[in-house]
Amino acid sequence: MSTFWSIWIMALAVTNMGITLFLFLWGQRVEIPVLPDGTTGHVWAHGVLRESVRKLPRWWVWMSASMFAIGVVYLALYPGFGSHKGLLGWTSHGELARDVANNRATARGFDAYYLSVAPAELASNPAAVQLGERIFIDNCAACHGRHAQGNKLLGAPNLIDADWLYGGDDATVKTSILNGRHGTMPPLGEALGEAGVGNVANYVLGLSGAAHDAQAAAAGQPMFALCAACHGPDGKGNPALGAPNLTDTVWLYGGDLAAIKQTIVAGRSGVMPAWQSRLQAVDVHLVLTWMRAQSD
Amino acid sequence: MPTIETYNDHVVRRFLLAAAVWGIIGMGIGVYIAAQLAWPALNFDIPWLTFSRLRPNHTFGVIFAFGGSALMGTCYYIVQRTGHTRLALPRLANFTFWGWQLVLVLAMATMPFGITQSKEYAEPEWFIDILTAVVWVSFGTVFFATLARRRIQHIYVANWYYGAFIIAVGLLHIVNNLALPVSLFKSYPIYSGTVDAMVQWWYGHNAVAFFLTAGFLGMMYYFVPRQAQQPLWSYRFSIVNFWALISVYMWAGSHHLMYTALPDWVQSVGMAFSLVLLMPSWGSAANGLFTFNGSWHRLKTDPAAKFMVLSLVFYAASTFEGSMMAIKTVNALSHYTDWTVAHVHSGSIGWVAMITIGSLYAMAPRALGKPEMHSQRAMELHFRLHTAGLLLYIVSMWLAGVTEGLMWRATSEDGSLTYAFIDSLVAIKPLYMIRFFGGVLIVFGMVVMAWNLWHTAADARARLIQPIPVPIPEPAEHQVPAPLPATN
Amino acid sequence: MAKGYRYFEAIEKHAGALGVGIAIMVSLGGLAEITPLFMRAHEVSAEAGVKPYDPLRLAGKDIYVREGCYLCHTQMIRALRAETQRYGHYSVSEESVYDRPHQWGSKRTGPDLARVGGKYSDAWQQLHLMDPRAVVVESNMPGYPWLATEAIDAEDIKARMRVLRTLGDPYSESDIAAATQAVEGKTAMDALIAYLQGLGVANVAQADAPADAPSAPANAGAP
Repeated sequence: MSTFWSIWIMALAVTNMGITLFLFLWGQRVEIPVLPDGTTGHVWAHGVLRESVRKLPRWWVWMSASMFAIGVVYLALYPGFGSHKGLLGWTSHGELARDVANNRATARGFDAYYLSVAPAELASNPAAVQLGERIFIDNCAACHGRHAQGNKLLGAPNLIDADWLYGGDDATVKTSILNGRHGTMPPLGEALGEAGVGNVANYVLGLSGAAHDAQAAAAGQPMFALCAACHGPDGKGNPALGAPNLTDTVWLYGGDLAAIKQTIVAGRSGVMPAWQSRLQAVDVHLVLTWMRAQSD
Repeated sequence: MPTIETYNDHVVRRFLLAAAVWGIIGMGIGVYIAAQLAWPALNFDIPWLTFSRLRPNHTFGVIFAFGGSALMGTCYYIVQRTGHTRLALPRLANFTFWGWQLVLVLAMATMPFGITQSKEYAEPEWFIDILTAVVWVSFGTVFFATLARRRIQHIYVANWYYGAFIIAVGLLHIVNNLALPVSLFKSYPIYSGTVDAMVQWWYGHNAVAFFLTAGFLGMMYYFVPRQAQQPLWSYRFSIVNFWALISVYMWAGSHHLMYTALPDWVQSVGMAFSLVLLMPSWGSAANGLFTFNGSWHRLKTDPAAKFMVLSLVFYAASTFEGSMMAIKTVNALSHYTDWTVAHVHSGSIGWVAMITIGSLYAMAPRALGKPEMHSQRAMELHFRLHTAGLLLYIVSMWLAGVTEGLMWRATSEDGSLTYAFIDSLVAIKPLYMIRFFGGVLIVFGMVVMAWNLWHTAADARARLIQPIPVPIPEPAEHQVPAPLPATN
Repeated sequence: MAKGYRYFEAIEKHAGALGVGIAIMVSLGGLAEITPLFMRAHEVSAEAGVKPYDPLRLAGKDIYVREGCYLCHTQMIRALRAETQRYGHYSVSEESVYDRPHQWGSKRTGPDLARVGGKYSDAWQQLHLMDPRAVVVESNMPGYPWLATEAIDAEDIKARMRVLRTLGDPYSESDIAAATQAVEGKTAMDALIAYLQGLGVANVAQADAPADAPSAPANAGAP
């Protein structure tokens, strides 16, 4: 802040506080002409409105004086009076830094302990599970649901079953969380044609043992070669690509004929954002702990 | 000497009617959007019925439509009686009525369609702002011209407050709304980011200070002594409080931006002045309340006086709360929560609405040529509904606000946050329902008042009212007042 | 000190003097708090590399304003530990220099959005805006399904960019010309999502600081 603006602010603050303080002191003492009935004699509204001239109440005088005192002391101690930094050297960012440091100091021991225990084992520690739940709800539940059951509208997978797109070991799940994932299924409607889509969809239904039109499925089988590049010739998926296993009963976007056809025609694009800028290692560890506790 | 000059109560009656109607509309919208917070499906996926589009209609409807109409009406009533003169510039006064109603209708009709500046309490777009400024300057012209032709030398304290209200709101409105239009329905303010935030809350806080406080203190200073039938408690108090209040308030806006990107010095200076503000605030409340000394028995029989006394109690309570919430550490907890909502409603439903209702009940029979209001029991009912609704509202929102504040900062022993954000919403949802119910009671009370006014206005509707003559010549200085109560 | 009532009485007897007195007294606070900020506003500039809103995000920001999102969501992470721990680094002045008006907000019925960009996928944002309870069962946010069918008018956006340029935002002629292509075929929903996905990302020059980190951008919170 330049000297000019500092003086500007100081001058205005002193002027305003000064006028107010003057009024406060002057108003208690100033001699105002009073009639015997205790009023000023000023009369308005057909004689209805008059005004008395009473002393200011003592409690109010003391209260006001203390407010002035607190206000002035505050401006002496804290930044506010122009460029005066305040005798305490306080800043909001300094206060934050201290609070964060204290919090870190408390957290450090716990963090080290949590990180030293594998999530599956830590899942028996109720405190750790509760912490993980809070982080999960604030960050993950929006897509995966409050109970991690997944959301077929988004293709957000269920996180507490045994099925994992990219692999379910601790390291892989943590990688998925920290770096995010982008599962892309290209649209194949044009390549397959309308009949082809129906046939392939029936074939896919058949892979998981669901009720399907056997004739159509037979017709679809040769065309499945197009899908095999990612899902594998047997349809068992590929964790390296995050291509789902089509032979189980877990469906990201729904497993009825209509949903499968929609997936084939228009493709799918499922985005798991990267969390490394928002979550720290221990946060991810605790989220995983909570997930492990749910799937037990 | 016989007189032929009469008070112009015509424009006063119009504003009275407008206040009653806008009160129901503004508060009714509030209840509807409060219901949406508890039951979100109630917007029916219709854009202009959605909470975020309608909330400005609620705030604008109660502050500027209900409050504004009541303030302008009582201002015209009071400036004539305290000056023993007829309103100056009658055509301009009429224009202020129709102009103000046009501003209100335009604002209320455009905001639900997303035509908004998104500056809180100053949402209407630039073309409405210009019209507002024109009407406001006209209002000030009528007021000061009437003051200039007064027959009583001393200007009564109520008029100081109305004067400050007019000048300060004009200044705030113009500075805050400086913008460059893109089209009729879109403009960009000349300020951005931090500067815009400071200008906005300098405006926003002082809309509270001058619209919702100074203006209504003017109303209080006339109608409280009038209803208590006592001289105003202390003239010394009036002098100190007035000048301190109007200047100190203007510094307090920055306490809306504690711990934000606004520089620390602005936050601190706002906090220091907010504490000093307690002095004129409690001084004014005390000056009004003590005026009832010697007349407390009137509360048994006079619902208007009850409204006034309770309004002053809430004025004292919410200004104390306001100064406390301006303290950094308290603000860190209360800001962004429903505590703020509780605070503004204890001020607006408690102080502003109750002083207005009390004053309307005091003024209406006189302006409508009746000895008293149509129904005493309806006034009693209104008082009970309003008080019950107010208590339900503010207690539920206090609880909600403190719950949110505490849950957001709750930290487990290992240093991590205890609650997810959504947990706090789930925790306060039942309180949103109680708040809605409180609001319903308040709106129902307003309907009772409108019914009562309608019947009290029977003569006015039949055009049977005789204008009230202005007493001329000026009463001698230091005269012994006429015996109380006078009817006008 | 006890004298001087005569002088005060003079103000009280003259409407003009009263008006002038009031005007002076109500001006002090604003002069002290606003003028210094306003006069040095040009010094608070965006960090290097941060550009004003691109056409689609500008359209999205104006829809955010139009729909009144600021009434329930803040975009101002305060410098408080519990807040930086939940939402990330506290907000600094430089991040909102292109916000006309500011969208700091005053109430959190929903969470803070200052750093929501990239937190969820575009698909989530779309689904959430269409029907919030399809993804967050407990939410009390209204749905905004009408945004999905509303086209963005390129000429309107260009007019807005020109006005912003007049006010000082550094748009070049080619920036404005590019708006036609940038918003072609886009809906209000696309624009709003683009805006949301830029919050805390596009208005910050360096990579996000990790949550609850105490270190600030170099010129944070001037002066």
